[in-house]
Amino acid sequence: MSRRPVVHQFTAVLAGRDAVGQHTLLVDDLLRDMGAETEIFAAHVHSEVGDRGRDFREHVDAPTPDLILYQTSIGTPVGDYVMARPEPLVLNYHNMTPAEFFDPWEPAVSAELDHGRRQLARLARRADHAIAVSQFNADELLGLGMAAESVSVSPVLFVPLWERGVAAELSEVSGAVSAGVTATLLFVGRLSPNKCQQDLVGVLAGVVALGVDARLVLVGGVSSVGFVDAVRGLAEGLGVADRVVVAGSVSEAELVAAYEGADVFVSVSEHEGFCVPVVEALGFGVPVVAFGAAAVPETLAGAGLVVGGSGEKSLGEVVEAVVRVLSDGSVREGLVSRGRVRAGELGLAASTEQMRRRLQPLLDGTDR
Amino acid sequence: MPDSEWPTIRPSDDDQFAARIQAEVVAAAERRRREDVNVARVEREIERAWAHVAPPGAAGAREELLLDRVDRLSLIDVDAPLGSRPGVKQVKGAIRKGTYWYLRYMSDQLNALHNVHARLLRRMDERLSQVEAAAGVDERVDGLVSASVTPGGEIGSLIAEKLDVANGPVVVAECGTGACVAALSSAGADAFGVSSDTQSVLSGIDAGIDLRVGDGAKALADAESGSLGAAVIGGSLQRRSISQLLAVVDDAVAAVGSGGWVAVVPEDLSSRSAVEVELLAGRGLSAAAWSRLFTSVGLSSEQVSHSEAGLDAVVIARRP
Repeated sequence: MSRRPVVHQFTAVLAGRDAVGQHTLLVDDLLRDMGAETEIFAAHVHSEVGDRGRDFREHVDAPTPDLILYQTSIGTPVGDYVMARPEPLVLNYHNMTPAEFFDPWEPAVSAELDHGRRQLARLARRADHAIAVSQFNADELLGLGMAAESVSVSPVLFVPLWERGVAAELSEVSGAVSAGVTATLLFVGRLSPNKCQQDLVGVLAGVVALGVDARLVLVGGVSSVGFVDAVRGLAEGLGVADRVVVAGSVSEAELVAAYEGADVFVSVSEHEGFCVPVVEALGFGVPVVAFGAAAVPETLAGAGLVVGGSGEKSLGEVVEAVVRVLSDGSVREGLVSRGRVRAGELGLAASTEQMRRRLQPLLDGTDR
Repeated sequence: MPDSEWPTIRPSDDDQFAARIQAEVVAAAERRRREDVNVARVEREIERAWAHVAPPGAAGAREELLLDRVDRLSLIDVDAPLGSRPGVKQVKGAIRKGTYWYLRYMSDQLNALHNVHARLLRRMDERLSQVEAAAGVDERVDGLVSASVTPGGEIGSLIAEKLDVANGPVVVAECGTGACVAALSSAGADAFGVSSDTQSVLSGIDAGIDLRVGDGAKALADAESGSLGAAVIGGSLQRRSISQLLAVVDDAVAAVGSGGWVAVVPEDLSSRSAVEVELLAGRGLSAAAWSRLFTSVGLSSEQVSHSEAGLDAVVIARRP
C-alpha cells in the first residue's frame, strides 16, 4: 500500500482573517481531505491560529515533504528558504503590489515590494508548477518565463461572509444609521495607494455635485498613515469631509452591517490580484461599479459595471455608473441577480472543487 | 495563454447586459462632458486638491500638475522651523539668525538654479504644446469633414473568405456599428469589435453584436502577443499621423502572431472633396501605401476589391 503524500505549505503570515491566511488554512483542509499529510510553516503565526502553523525556521527539523506549496504574496525570507529546498515547488500566486504605488508614500514598503518582485522572478524560474488565483496573475507568471503548461488558475478559497451567519452590528459604517443620507457608497480594502481611495473621494464629490445626497464608507486597515491623512485632506479640500467615513479595520459584524447598508460597492483600485471584497459585495446583493484594472474584470465577469476597461481611468464615467445604479431600478436588479450568481460561482464549494482538480495531478505526481 | 478551465476571460460573450450599460455610461459621461463646462472644472479641482495634499510623484503624471509641483518645491526656505510654543525669545531669534546667515548663501544659488530649471521646463512645455498642436488634427476639423467610413457586411464576408476563421479571435478596430463584425461572426469567426464611437457601439450592441467601447489602436496595443487570429483596421483610426499608423501596424502584427492575418479597410482618398483633401492633408493612406507598409515588415499582402462606397480596396496581409 502506498504511503500518504506529505505536503508542506509555506506562507509569510498565517492569520485567520487575512485573505491569504484563510486561503492557506482552507487549502490545508482540502489537502488533508485528499489524503495528504500536511503542515503549515510561516514567518509569523498569529495566536488565533497558533495550533495550525509553525515557525518556518523549525522546518529544517521536520520530515522531508514530497511537495512544497508556497503561498506567494509578498517578498519574504520564506521565499528564499523554499527556493533553496530540493523538493518539488508549487507556487500558489496571489499577486504582489507593484512597488511604484508606494514610492511616494512609504519608501521602505516600496523597497520591500521591489525585493518581492525580484524574488518572484527567481521563484518563477525555480518552481515546477504554479496555481494562480486569477488569469491576470497567471499572465504575470507567464511573463516571467513560466511555461504555459505549468501554470493553472484556481480562485481564492474563502468562507463567504454572507454564509457565516454573522449578525450585523450597526455602527457608523452601516448605511442604516446614517440619518438623512440617501445613498451609501462602500469600498472594502486596505487604505493603500494602489487601491486609490483618493479617487473614491473624487467620485463622491462628483456624485454629490450631481445632486445625489451620498456618503462614502471606507473599510479596511491602513497600509500608509500618510496616504490616509492625504485622503482625509482631499475630502476636506473638496468640501465632502462630513460625508466620508474612514472606518479602518472593523469587526465581522460591522462588516456585515456595512455590506447590508451599502447601496453600491465602488472600486477604483488599480491593482488587484483577485479582490475578495468585490465577491463579498456581490454575495450580499450589493451592485458593484469598478474600474477595469488588473484581475477585477475577470472576478466580476459581467456581474458588475466595469468602466475604463481600455485602461484609461475616468472618474466621470465612474460617477455616471454610480448614479445610474442608484437611479435605475432595472439596472440595479439586473446587477444584483447576476452578482448573486457570480458570487456562487466563486463560493467556497465551487472554488474548492476547482482547487482539488488543480492539486490532484500534483499529488499523483509525488513519489510514493 | 488563457487557462481553458477558467471560464471568465471574455465575460460579456453570453450576456450583453453589463456591456450595454457600460456603453451607455460611457456615452452619458461623454455627453455630460460636452454639455456641462463644470465637469472639466470639477475634475481640475479634484486633481489640484489631491496634488495639494499628496507627496511629489503621487498626484499623477500630468505635465501641468508636475510643473505646478516644480514651482512649489523649487523654493528653499531658510527660516528655521522653531514652532510656536513659548520659549526664550532671544534664543529663538539667535537660532533663526544663525541658520539664516549660514544657509542663505547656498540656498540663493540653489533657488536660482531651480528657478532656471522651472522656467526651462515651462518653456519646453509651451514649445512641445505648439509642436503637438501643429502636428495633430484639431478636433474642430472633425466637424468640417465627413466622418470616416467603417467597413460593412460585404467587406466582413470578404475578409472571412480570405482568412482562416478558426485561427483565433478576430478584432475589428474602429468597427462602427459592427456590420463587419456581424459578417465575420456569421462566417464562423470568433469576432468582436472595438470603437471609440459610443453611439455606434450602443446601436451595435442593441443588434446583438459583440462590441466594446474603447480605442481601437489601444485594443491592438494591449492584446497579448499572438493572442489574435486576425486584426481588422478601419474607420477613424486611419486618420491618425503616419507615426501612429506605423505603431498600429507593429501592434497588429505582434498581436496576430505567426500565421495570423491583418486586414485594413482604407478610405477611398479619391472620393474626398477639395476641402477635405486640404483639411485632412497627410491623414489616411491608400491601399497601395498600406500594402507597402505590410511588405516592409515581412508580411505578404494582397488587395481585394469590393463594391462598398467610400472605401478603397481591402488590403489583406498574412504573417508568415
